[in-house]
Amino acid sequence: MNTKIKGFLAAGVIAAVLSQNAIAQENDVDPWEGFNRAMFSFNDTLDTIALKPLTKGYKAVMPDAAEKGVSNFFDNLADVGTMINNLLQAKFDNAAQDLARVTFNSTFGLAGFIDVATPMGIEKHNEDFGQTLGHLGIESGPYLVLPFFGPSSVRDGIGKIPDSMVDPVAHVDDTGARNALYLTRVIDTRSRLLETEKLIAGDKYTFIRDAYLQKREFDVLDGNLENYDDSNF
Amino acid sequence: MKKSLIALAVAGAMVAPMVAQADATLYGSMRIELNDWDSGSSLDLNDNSSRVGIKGDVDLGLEGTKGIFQWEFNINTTDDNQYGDLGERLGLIGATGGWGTALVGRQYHPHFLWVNLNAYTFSDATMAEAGFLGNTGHKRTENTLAYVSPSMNGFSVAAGAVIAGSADSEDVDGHNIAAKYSGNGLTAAISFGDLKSNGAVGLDREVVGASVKYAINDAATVMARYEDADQTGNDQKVWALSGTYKIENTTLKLGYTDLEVDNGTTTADGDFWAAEVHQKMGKGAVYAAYADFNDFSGYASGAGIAATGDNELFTVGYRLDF
Repeated sequence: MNTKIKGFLAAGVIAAVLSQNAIAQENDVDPWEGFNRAMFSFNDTLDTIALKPLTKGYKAVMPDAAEKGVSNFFDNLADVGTMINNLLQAKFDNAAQDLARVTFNSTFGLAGFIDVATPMGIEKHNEDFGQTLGHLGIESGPYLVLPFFGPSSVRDGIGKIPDSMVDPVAHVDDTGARNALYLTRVIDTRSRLLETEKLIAGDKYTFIRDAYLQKREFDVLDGNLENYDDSNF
Repeated sequence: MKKSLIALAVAGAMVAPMVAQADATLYGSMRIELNDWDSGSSLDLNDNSSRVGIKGDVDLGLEGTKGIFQWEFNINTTDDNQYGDLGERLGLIGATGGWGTALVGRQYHPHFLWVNLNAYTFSDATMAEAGFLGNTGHKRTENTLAYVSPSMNGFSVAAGAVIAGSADSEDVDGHNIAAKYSGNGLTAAISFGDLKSNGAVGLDREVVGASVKYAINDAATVMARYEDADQTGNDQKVWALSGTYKIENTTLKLGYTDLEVDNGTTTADGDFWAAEVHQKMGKGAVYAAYADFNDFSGYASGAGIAATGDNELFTVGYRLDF
């Protein structure tokens, strides 16, 4: 047997082992698939009949610059939660940068509508309580699709509770203004996914689940995945 | 041959003005900010000590000694009726060499340079200099003759005298002696200053001060300062602690200052703390800062410091240096 064939055989064995692992992993990560698929279908229907048309209308009406401004505004608010979670993860330099981002974007960036911090060279981070729990070594637990909120996991679902407590929008006193902000944020978030969702191929449920879980693992480890390599893509 | 000669001539013509310019440097710093005081003033665009100056050195034909000069004036970028306000900040001439530096003119005294500036933390002048006891009589003072020794293993001494010659009985109207050590990330300074009431400065005031600045590593620096001024009807004691933390071009600053004033009959105790986020951008910078003053208003300058009143200041600033 020459080396080449040996190589092929070895690759085959590895591939087989890996795929077995993948199947085993799938059962591990999504033991509640029945419930999740039902929730997914509910969310998907809601999206198709209400949110997506609303978002398309929003995109049609809003000039691109204004849309960007709205995205920047909510990103700036999100930096507050990111800062708190960086502190909890003892990433003090990142937390300091988050503080600088919020400070400059809220002042020079006119209440956050312009992201001046990024061109100034202050790095943006993305942290939440789910990631903080993951950073502390807590496993994500089973995959979980929440009604209205979409893909999550047991850990990340629990993390959404403190997330909502540090959300600046939750601290707006006026109920009308607060709800308007919530709704605008949902539409803004959805509008950012319009382009991305075109990439979805095959079973939509599986695709989103796998993408979500991979993204979360990537986020928790801040991109320092053991078997992650740019060349894999 | 001919071509290279022309090239040489062109190169020479270009180099000559550069050499001529090297003797003097035009420099400056333009600083503007938007102040939001909690009480006493509405939103205000404010100049934060913008200045332009010329400094340089002159060949004296001496070995190891050259003449030096500096002239610096303030520019007010924001307020009305300031067209004629090119107020002089510094104006001095002197000589420097291996033996040290001698300066004559309107200049900073060692107390301000070594004790106060060593603990200078904030970008906004009010936050930075509130409680600087060297601001009285030792900051950009006229008629000053000063000597600063060269650094001897990090150790330097300085002495200065104010010789104003106005219609008073004093030949020396005030003096200041100071010592400084600088090395291994540590800068420590002590100073004693004495002003005469019947001299040109017109204040009977003694001030002692000490400050320490220590760079823990590339990112973190801590500073501490203590000053005590004895002046009839206005004794002052100040201590201050501050720290800065730097991540790339972003610096976070935090400081606390405590001031005690005794006017002979009553004692007032005030303090303030301040925080700043500062972003350096090439030769420019922006910052946002907040300070909370408790029974502490304004500069510790002049005889009539009022250690009363609470106020808060939020400011955003923009600065360009050239």
